[in-house]
Amino acid sequence: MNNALRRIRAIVATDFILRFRRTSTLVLFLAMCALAFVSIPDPSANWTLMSIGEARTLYNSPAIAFATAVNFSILGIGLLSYYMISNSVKRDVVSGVGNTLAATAMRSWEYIAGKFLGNVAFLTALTLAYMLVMMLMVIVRGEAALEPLVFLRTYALLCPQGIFFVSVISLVFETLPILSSRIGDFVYFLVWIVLGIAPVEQLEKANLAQQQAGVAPTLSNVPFVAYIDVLGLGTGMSAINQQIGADSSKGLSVGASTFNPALPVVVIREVELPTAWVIAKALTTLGFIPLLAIALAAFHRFDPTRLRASARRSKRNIVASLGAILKPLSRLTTTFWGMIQTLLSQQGFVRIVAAEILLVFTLHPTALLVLVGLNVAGLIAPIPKVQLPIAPLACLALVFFSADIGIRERQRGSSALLLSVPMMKENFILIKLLASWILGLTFAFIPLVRLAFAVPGVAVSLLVGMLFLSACAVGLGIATGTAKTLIVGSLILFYVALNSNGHEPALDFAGWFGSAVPMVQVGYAVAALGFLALGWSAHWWRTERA
Amino acid sequence: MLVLDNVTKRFSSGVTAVNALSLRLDKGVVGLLGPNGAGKTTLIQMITTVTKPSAGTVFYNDVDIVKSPDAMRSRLGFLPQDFDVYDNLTAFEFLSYFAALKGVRSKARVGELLEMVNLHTVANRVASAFSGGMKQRLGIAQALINDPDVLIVDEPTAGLDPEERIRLRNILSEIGGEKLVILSTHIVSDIEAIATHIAIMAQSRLQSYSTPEELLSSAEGNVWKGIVSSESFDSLRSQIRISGAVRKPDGVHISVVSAHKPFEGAMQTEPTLEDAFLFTLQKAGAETGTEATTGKSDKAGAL
Repeated sequence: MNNALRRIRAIVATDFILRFRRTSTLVLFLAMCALAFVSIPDPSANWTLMSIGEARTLYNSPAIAFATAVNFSILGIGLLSYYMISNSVKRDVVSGVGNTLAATAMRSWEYIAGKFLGNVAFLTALTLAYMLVMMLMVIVRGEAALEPLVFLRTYALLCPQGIFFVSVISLVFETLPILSSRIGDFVYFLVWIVLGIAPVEQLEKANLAQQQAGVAPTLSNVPFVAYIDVLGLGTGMSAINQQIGADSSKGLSVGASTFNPALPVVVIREVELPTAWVIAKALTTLGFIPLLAIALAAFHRFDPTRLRASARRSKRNIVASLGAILKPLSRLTTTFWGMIQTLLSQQGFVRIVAAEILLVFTLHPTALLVLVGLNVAGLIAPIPKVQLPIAPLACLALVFFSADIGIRERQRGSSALLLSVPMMKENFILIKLLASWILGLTFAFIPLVRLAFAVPGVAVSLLVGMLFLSACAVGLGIATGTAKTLIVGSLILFYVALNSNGHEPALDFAGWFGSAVPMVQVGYAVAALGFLALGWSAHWWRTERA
Repeated sequence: MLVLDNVTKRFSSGVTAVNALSLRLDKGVVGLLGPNGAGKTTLIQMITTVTKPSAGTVFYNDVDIVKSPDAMRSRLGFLPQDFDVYDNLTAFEFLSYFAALKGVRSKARVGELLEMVNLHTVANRVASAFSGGMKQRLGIAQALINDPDVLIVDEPTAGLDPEERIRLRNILSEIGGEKLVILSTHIVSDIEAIATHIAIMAQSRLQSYSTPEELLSSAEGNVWKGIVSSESFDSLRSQIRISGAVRKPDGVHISVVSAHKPFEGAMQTEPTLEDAFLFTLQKAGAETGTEATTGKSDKAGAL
């Protein structure tokens, strides 16, 4: 083996070890096991893994393999894994190892190739682990014999495109300065939504066109969709629809589906794709690799000059530019700093919470603009508009500006400094929670007051919803050590809640649709306590045990 | 042979970190001295090919390493100033990783190096849990893993206890007998016992490059000592730069680097390397009309 291959192998192996030794990977794996158990309920339950036209599908290997592969491809690979693997270059910068790497004979293309293959290896291992858990579920809950090869073939058809795409795109985003910041996290979320929706819509259109032309809809007639259906949703659903003779994906429901027990159980066969589709998917999978040239061109190779320039460019986004313009506004906060010192000199706890909030405004002057904008909008808008979209925007602002509130000192190596402040160490979680929550409430102050008089139940929901998001920011941030967990988690929650349109009260966590009942409010308050307990445990582990 | 010719590094902000520096280095231990912010780290980053010069050339064994960095990288051992390790790798795994990156095929070499830096008993412990000194020793091990012809260490004694410093000096001195070792520091005691040549940087420029003996002789006649009372010491301190002071029962024994007799009763004395370093910085300040700041002295390390 030549030196280049040895170096690439070393990078892949090291990345693999580092990722598999992270607590977050273990947590993810345990969550996957729990999800497997929950998502495949006992056949006697009133909901099921997959239904077609309100009929439950039989728990055989083809059905479980298909449904779980599609779900994992969409959520696990397409969404969560991006946020898990999009820090492989940054880790080398932050850890300081990059300086040493740069002085070795390792070439830039070897590094990028190693990181890419490391991503692929990690995601493939995760996918295989998930598949094995699902195969176990066939043994636990299945209604037919386990067919391991069916699982292997189904996962091989639906998952590799997503694995390669995310492995490439995460490196491209990470090396491009403008997308390497939090803006990139939001941009990728939009990319994910498009990847999920576009292929399904294209297939629906193609099916309709074929029907109108009097042709039976087949995948063979729309091979172009195979190129854009990176996450396999459209492919899988269309293949199943063709198998059962349905003409639209609307009758097919995958994941937590209700069904009519009076209808006979549907038995589906293994997903099969036309050869053209298999070739197209294989070509697309490999076709992502040339995009690594962008990552290679943008890779700084830990050159301090390029790193500085890269850091400057990463701040050239709308939010950062606005922040720079508004920087003089943040001087206003220095006045408040002085007032806090004077007014709250005896009130240590309150002073610390206030200081935490003011620090957010000093660090992010844009937050002041958002605060004024949301409150002015909340003052003049009619109540329904206050409920939607002003309340969701206030929640989004809370997430954006307090995503790192529990970990910002740790990320900058100043935890010891902060924890040495009187009352801080023993009240760390509570202080961070209150700072985040009150920050959120300042964004929604006038909207909340108006809602309290007009629709008190919605105001309570918004209060609880913001408390829940704040607890998530603190708990998830401290437990996972990154703000990305909160960002991706809350984006999914917002997406699901907005799409439910209030029809599902349990999803109306912040009262945006006014459908949350008191039990829902209590449920989110309890969940907030759960996240706080998680954060407290992680904090205790780090400060007392480590 | 490493040859730097008119090497300049200018950042886009307009700051010039290294200005028209020329130097020829052969085997031996070269102490690169300079106060913080003098440009030492930037110079090292250019020699190690981590960053490119804005102007000038760097040749190693007649190969332009700006154009062909592999010529240097393949023969280089480098311990950067802010060396750190990954969170979840053991010392053995970390060193094996760098062994692979540097093309070292012998697994035994990893064990040898761990033993050399006295980490063999903790080889299977996660390196991020190491003390600062242990991490630094691991850094030294990774720098030496490929048996380099050029070893460059930037502030290597940070976090090391006195015993470890001596151990490190002995290792560097031994390597410097046959190869080129560049040791960058602002602590004179780190290099005074082992350097065969000393390069002093201040204000982005090379101020002097000489043997320790030449450097010492350059400061002869410019170092003064004397004994003053505590009260006089306090007032003197505000008037002249005192390079060393020790309180004793008969008063404060002070030494001063100055071209003129600094106070009544002062007597000329033999300069130390630290005095010579300070004298060079003073000269540099006088020539440019600014005050060259001095680095910290670390007497504790001078064992």
